[in-house]
Amino acid sequence: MLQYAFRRIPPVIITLALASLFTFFMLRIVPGDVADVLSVQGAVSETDKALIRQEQGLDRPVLLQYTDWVGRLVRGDFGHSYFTHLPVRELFAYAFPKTLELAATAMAIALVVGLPLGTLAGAFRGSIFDHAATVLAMLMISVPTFALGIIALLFFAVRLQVLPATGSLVLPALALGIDISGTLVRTLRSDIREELRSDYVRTAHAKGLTPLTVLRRHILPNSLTATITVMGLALGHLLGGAVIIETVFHWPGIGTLLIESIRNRDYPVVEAVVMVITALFVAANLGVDLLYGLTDPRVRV
Amino acid sequence: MDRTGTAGNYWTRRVARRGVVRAGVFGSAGLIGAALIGCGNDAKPTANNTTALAAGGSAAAAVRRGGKLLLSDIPQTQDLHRHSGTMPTPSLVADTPTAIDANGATQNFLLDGVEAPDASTYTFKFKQGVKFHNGREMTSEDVRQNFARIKATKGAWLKSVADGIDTMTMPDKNTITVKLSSPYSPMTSLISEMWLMAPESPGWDSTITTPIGTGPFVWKQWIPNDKIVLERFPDYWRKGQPYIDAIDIKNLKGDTTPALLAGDIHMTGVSRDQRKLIGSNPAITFQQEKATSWQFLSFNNRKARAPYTDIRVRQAMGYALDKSALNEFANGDTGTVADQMAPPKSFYWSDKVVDPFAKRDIAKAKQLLQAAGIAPGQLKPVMPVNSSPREPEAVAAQLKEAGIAPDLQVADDIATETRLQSYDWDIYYAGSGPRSDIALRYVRLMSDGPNPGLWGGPQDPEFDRLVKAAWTLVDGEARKAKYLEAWKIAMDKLFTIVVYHKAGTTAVRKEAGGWQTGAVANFNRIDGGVSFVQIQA
Repeated sequence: MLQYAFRRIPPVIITLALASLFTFFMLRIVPGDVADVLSVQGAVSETDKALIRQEQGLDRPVLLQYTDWVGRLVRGDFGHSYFTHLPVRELFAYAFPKTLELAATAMAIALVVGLPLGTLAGAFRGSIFDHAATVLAMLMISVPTFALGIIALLFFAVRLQVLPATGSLVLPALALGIDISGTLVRTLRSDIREELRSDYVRTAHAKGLTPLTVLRRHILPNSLTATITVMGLALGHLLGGAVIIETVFHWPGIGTLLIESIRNRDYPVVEAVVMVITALFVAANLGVDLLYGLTDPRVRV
Repeated sequence: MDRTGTAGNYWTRRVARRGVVRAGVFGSAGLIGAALIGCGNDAKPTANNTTALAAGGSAAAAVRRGGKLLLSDIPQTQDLHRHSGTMPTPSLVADTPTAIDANGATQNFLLDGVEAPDASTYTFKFKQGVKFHNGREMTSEDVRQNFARIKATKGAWLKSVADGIDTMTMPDKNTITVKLSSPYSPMTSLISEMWLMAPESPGWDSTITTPIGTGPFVWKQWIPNDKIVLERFPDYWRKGQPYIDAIDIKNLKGDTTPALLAGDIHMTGVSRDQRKLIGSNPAITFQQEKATSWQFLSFNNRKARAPYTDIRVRQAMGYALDKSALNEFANGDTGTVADQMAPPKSFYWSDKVVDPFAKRDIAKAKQLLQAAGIAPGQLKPVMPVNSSPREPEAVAAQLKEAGIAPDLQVADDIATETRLQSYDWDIYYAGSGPRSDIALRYVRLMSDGPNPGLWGGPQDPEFDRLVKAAWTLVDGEARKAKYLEAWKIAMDKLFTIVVYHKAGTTAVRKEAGGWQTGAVANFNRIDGGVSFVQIQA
């Protein structure tokens, strides 16, 4: 198992290195920098713009800027925001718990809705329940998250006024959770149906085990591989900031921080956020790979 | 604050600047949704504490104290000397020497009086007993240190004004005399944007992290991209004010209408369409701003390409514009067709200026193009467009009727700004917001003016000379005459074509009782704003 884990490390390092290159140079290609942004606001003369670029080291060769940045990154120094002048680490400390809160709640909703629906739909194939769950899952997947979010916002916050339109956890978590649970239902249903046709299931039944026991002890554990993948990817996505949903609901998480920083050409923040999101995504996938290894010994070979 | 695209007031300006996707997708979806489900609900009540009676117990003098006001703004820094991209929030925490009243006139605020005999020496006499939030009395030495810090800080708001200071002396603890290197008459108006902070403010030597001002509210907490929490300053120099206990400034972007309708915020700027949609809501009233923003079609003046160097081509575009239709399209009854940077009927405006493009004349436009040797459809001016393309598209449609086919190139604000400043374009349609002094409009067209890209960076020594001459004049009428001479150059050479002026609209919930929208964007003002608000149930 340890050897299997070690084999997963080099791809992680390569991914992070590529992400750092991509993020850094893409930002430099996009027109405009912090001095231009300040100039848009109207207070900065051409001379000041040159001074600001000099102060931020933006007048140095790009390659030198990159190596400096990577050097600081390795030491855990994310730098300061050009705009708020706060350490990027501090901005993260504000935003990340919010994203974590949203992601955890959305995942909880997805599991509570998706697991039972998917299991029952798979176990009772062809039944009315199966058809209903399939249609519901399709609906959950098909309706864009942001559209669902906006409709929920207008109905619950504006029309009924039972929830705030901004800063509420319930609505964005519901919108995200429903989307993930749709995928979960479909994946789990399909896997369970697959497993139901397996020889070992027939054997288990032949041994006299009750259908519920077969489902709980044999089918479910073997059906969870794909489900774990779905959840892992969804978690990585959520921790990376559900950008649109955070924007619609004015949720001050990582997604909002990233979008605002891109708009402001706030390089240190964008670079740090992208790197942390990448690291989280990679970590989530690494976790999934390791879980595969635990749940299915064949992948360790 | 100037690159406003199609929007006018200070709220919608920010929406326009930041909202390519948000304003386009979510805003539209929000509006459509609001229209579908209806918006006529009563707001959630906002808590307030007590109702106190003023002396004599008169019902008319009853003051409702307590409660929290919910506002929205997008501040980017706590350092109120550095440019924050927004004016409303600093005014809650820090006061200024002067202030702009509801009619746009400059009044003393922290000042008791100003003596400026020749526009190059200003003696400012400050009020006694004004306290900072840390309890210390403000002195003229604090004012000196504020001027000095602004002068020394790159990108500081009013740095160009502070740069002109030669010497500062303090005859007593409430008086400071400032000598400028050259006469500058807009000084008293412009220091209405100079937020005074105590030098003890943490981060004074680099970046202030907690501003200590003399304003009606104390800065308690800032959570970036979320909100700012402010609490009432009990020792505010305007005795008895403010009436409310606290303010939350939510950091909202995009369409803020749902937040207003839900009662999450108590006021926000609204566009004409948003106003129509929420117009029947009994919880919301609308107030017009007392100052206007102006909309214009600029030409690339600094690096004009042929054939846009030919005045006939510029004139053709002027004749092809239908200013009335554009104004109606964008503003309805909140806008006025115009030909000057000064708002119509204001002090610096003149009825003697003749607008050649007051009436659309397509035939004349075509004649001019023909005379310039340009065949119909041959002229394809590059037209950068930022954020909201709605109005630029209308402009392009009008120009097409004269055989001009603009090449609209849409990008986000910063990319467009970079493009503008590279002067790789031909025409640009945008707006510019209300200003505390007309000087801040004229300075934009000067050779070394800030953010010159928007107006194509004119470089005209005679224009510069006239504006600078205006600044030296203490007499208002003489100053106006000089400004108008300069404006004649701008019109004759067609630096830019003014299309209309419009007053922004603020939608105010009933909870924010007593709120009056003024001539400037500040939340706290001399004759209105938060210090006068009494939260209503």
